[in-house]
Formats: sequence, C-alpha cells, structure tokens
Amino acid sequence: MTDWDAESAVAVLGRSGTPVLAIDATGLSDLERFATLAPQLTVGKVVGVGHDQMLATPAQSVAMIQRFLYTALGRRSVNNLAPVQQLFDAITSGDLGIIDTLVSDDFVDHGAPPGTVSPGPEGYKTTMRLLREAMQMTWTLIDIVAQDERVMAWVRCEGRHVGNFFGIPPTGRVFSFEAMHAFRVEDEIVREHWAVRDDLGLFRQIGLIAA
Amino acid sequence: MQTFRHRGLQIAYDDTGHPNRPPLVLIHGWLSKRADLAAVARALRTSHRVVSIDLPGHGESEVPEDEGRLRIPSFADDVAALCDELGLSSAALVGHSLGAAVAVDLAVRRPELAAAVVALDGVVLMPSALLEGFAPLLAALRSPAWREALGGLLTSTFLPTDDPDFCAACSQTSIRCRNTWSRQLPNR
Repeated sequence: MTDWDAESAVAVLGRSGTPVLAIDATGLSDLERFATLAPQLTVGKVVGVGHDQMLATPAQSVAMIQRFLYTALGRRSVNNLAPVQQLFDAITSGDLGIIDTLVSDDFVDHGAPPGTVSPGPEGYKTTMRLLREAMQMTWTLIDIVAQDERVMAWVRCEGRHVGNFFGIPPTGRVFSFEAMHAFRVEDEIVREHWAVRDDLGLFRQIGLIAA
Repeated sequence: MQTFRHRGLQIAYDDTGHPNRPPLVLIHGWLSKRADLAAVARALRTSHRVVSIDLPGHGESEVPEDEGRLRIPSFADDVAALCDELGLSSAALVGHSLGAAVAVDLAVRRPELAAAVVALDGVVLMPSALLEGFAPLLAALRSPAWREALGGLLTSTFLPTDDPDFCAACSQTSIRCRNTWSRQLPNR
C-alpha cells in the first residue's frame, strides 16, 4: 500500500479541478497538505463516530455528501414535483418498490390514522398496499402544483371496499371521493405528507354512517 | 448481488438507489467489504443511483493469486471496469479509508469518469507520524503475529463511544479477509 505515490496523485487531482470532499473522523490523512496540493478541497468533520462507526451511523456524512454533490456539480434545477408525480404513478401501477427511492427514511405520513404506520418507506408501502387491496383504490390526479418545498395534489379516489380496512369489515360497496394532498419535498426527496380528505363522504358511501 | 468478470476475476457489486438520479460509486476500505457500507448506500438511495463494489480479495469477490491485484492502481482499474460495464460515463467516487485512495487514483487515471471525489476518513496522504508507524505494521501483517498487529491497527481507529458490536464485526471482517490472503501475504 505504501508504494502508491499519494503526493503525485493528489497533485494531479488538484490540477484537474475535480471537486473533492474529505470527511474526516480520525485524522488518517494530512488534510492541510492535501489542500496545498488540491486547493479545491472541501473539508468536513464528523463528531462522535470512529473510522468504521461513521459507516453504521452515516447521517452526518450523508448530509455532507448530498449537499456537496448538489452544490459542487452545478446544481440541477430541482424538480420537487417529479417525485410526487412518481409516487402517484407507483401507487396507481402497483410498482410500490420505487417508493424506497422517493421517500426518506424519516418520512412521516400525517394522513394515516395516528399510530397505525411506522415512519419511512415501509410504513407508507404498507398503507398503499392496504388501500390497493382492501379498498381496490385508484387515484386520478386532477391537478398538481409545486412551489419550493411544497407540493399540492388534488386527487379523485375511487374503489370498492372488499377487505378489512383498519378494523372495518368489507361492505362490498363502491365509493368515490376527492382529497387534497400536501407534501414537503426537499431536494426531490419526499419528507412529509398531509391529507385533507372527504372521509365523511367515504364513510357514508360504504355504509358506516347513515347517508 | 450482481457480478461481472474483469481480468480473470469474478467481482461482486450492487446497483441500487434511484435509477434516474446521478450515479455514485461506493468503494470500501482495505480488509473491509461493500456490506459494511450498506447503511450509507441505503441513506443515499433517494438522491443517487448507488453502485457498491467488493474489491478483489474482499467480500464476495474472488481472491486473486497475484498480490499485484491487491494494490491501489489495480483496484482503481477494477472500479473503472465496473463503471464501463454499467455504462456509467461519469460518477461521484466515494471511498472509505483505503477506498478513498482508490477513488483519487481512479480520478487521476480517468478524469472524465470522476464527477467528484469524496473521501470518508480516507487514507490518502497519511500524516508523517502515522506513516512512520504504518510501515512496521504492514511488515507485521506478514508475520505470524498478524492478528495482533491487525487488532492493534483497527482498535486505534475506534472511539470509546462507538458501538462495540459493530466494531467487533468490522474486526472480524478484516481478520477473515486477511486470512484469505495467506498466499498473497505469506508469513515470513
């Protein structure tokens, strides 16, 4: 390992202008020398994690990597509407696996009944699987708009209540209602969801309460 | 896991994350494996297409006969071959520990391939004090007492607050990996 000429390599890297980020944990590189040879170097430092632990507890490093790559590589124009559109495509087609790449690990669905689903993609996929199976739900986007981190979608939901839905046994009835969905989307990653739904209309149509 | 063959060796890799977002290649460190970076790959899956490789002699990749295949420029050539295999014309190269040196070497050899280089506690330009201790340590890794030498090296990079189980697992990975290199690093 020691026969590799690090000095020459870093000097060539410096002349190339390739963006470089060094995230230090335990001081295994001489970053002052590095910056002399490659002045474009950006340095970050993680706290409270050692050389290997930084991989198992990656939040600090990942935040730095994402921010560095977004800024250093010439920030593409951020399209926060696209991942929400892809979410609706996924739940409509049933290709729920893609949800793993659209919502964050700490994603919170404020639209689900409190305490029923865990944060992150798994909880959201569970809810969507239930809506698709127990409610045979289909979604039609009537309108969708985005501004900064906020995406609003106006949606028509239709289906038939054929399975156990949060403890409600199947009624076999069809339903159709509208809902407004709000999402908080940061750098094209969906972080939170809220919904204002016509739940009263749904409950009337499936016969839970008198019309 | 997926595999491809390069210069006679089967090399293991994963290709995960968002297929339409900018590609990023994760390169693990010396005596480590791509599975040790699984939490990093998972956290980056929303922002990037994440490719992680097991370098030859590591993880689920084949162990080379030739010690030359366990050197930084050779590892860089393997990573370049994987990028070519996957049709990546440019990617962010993220290396942990020795993997950072591999990323730097690859960026020097194939500048068009390196959109950016990220070193995670990289071993790239060792501080002179560390370097002085490193040469005898490398020699010790070829001696019958290599387990003790390796244990001392790894322990020096743990913090008291680190998860002891995770650190122990990383040490076990390293010891197992070094154990498969008996032909390449014969005891003297």
